[in-house]
Amino acid sequence: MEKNELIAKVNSVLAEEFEVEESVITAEANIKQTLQLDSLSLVDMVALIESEFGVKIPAGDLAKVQTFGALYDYLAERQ
Amino acid sequence: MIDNYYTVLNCTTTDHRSGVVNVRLNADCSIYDGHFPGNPVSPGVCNINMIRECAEQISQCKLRIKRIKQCRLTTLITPLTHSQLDVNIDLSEQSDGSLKLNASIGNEGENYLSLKAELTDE
Amino acid sequence: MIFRNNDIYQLIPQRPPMFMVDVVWAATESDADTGLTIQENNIFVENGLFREPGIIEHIAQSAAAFAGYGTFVRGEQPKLGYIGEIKDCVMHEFPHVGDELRTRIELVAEVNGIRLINAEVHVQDILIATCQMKIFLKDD
Repeated sequence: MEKNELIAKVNSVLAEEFEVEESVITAEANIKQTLQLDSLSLVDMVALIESEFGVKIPAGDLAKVQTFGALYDYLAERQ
Repeated sequence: MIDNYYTVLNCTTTDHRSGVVNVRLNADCSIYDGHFPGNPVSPGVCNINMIRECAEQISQCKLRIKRIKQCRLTTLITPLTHSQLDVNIDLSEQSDGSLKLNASIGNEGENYLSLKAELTDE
Repeated sequence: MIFRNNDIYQLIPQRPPMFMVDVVWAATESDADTGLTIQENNIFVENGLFREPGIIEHIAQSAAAFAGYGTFVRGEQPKLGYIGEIKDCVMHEFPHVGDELRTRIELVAEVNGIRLINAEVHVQDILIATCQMKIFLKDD
């Protein structure tokens, strides 16, 4: 998948699941704050990323993926 | 269903569809012998059942849960730390005859458990 | 290794009368098969039927036993677990006293001590319930 395609898919998948406007999802935005994730919904995000992109994010890596930009890069490296 | 799990202190409703039931959890309920030994924790399923029974009190109907759409249990409730609880009930009739339930358990503005479910008459 | 009745005390901290799984048939990294025979004196039996809280608690304790199998194999004590969230739990039927539940638990994801599982409960080939659940497992 091209990076642009990847970004578009990530944005659309997360916006739908967490019921936010795609426009608030920007590379610099903080994932937890933008999607209003608590510890329960964070698990849903990880599960969704795994089922949509086939990429498992272990706990150690998850702590480092704070922004959407970091998430795009993380997934792009593992596609 | 579970003997001595809670005591109803007060029940307020104007329309038999929504209202508040104030309850007290009983620390001497025998369920705590097993959940857990030496460390009483109010089981989430017992709190969900308590909500169902409060919905029965408010609506004056016997009810069963067909589907839990979502239940979030965000606070550990124990009979020692959370003895007094407000059970908030909001029921609405659906076109297929089922009842939609929006409920929560909390106290003094704090929310401990929220439940969205579909119920039917027994 | 099959765990039955008191063997399961090695896998989960729950005890009677809140003990809702009586057999662990098998467990792997990704899934487990468990069961429960509904006894007449089960606290969640009313008018001969095993009701909603029992079905959900059986699923939760099956998920706990699944996790407990892992800690057991590593020589650790079972952890205290709590239900964090229940999603799309459909209860089609209430089992009867004497019915034997057969349950499959699948691990979907595990993040920061929270396990997300899917569960399916059958009595023979009758579907009793399906459910998605998140369980917190507490580190001591």
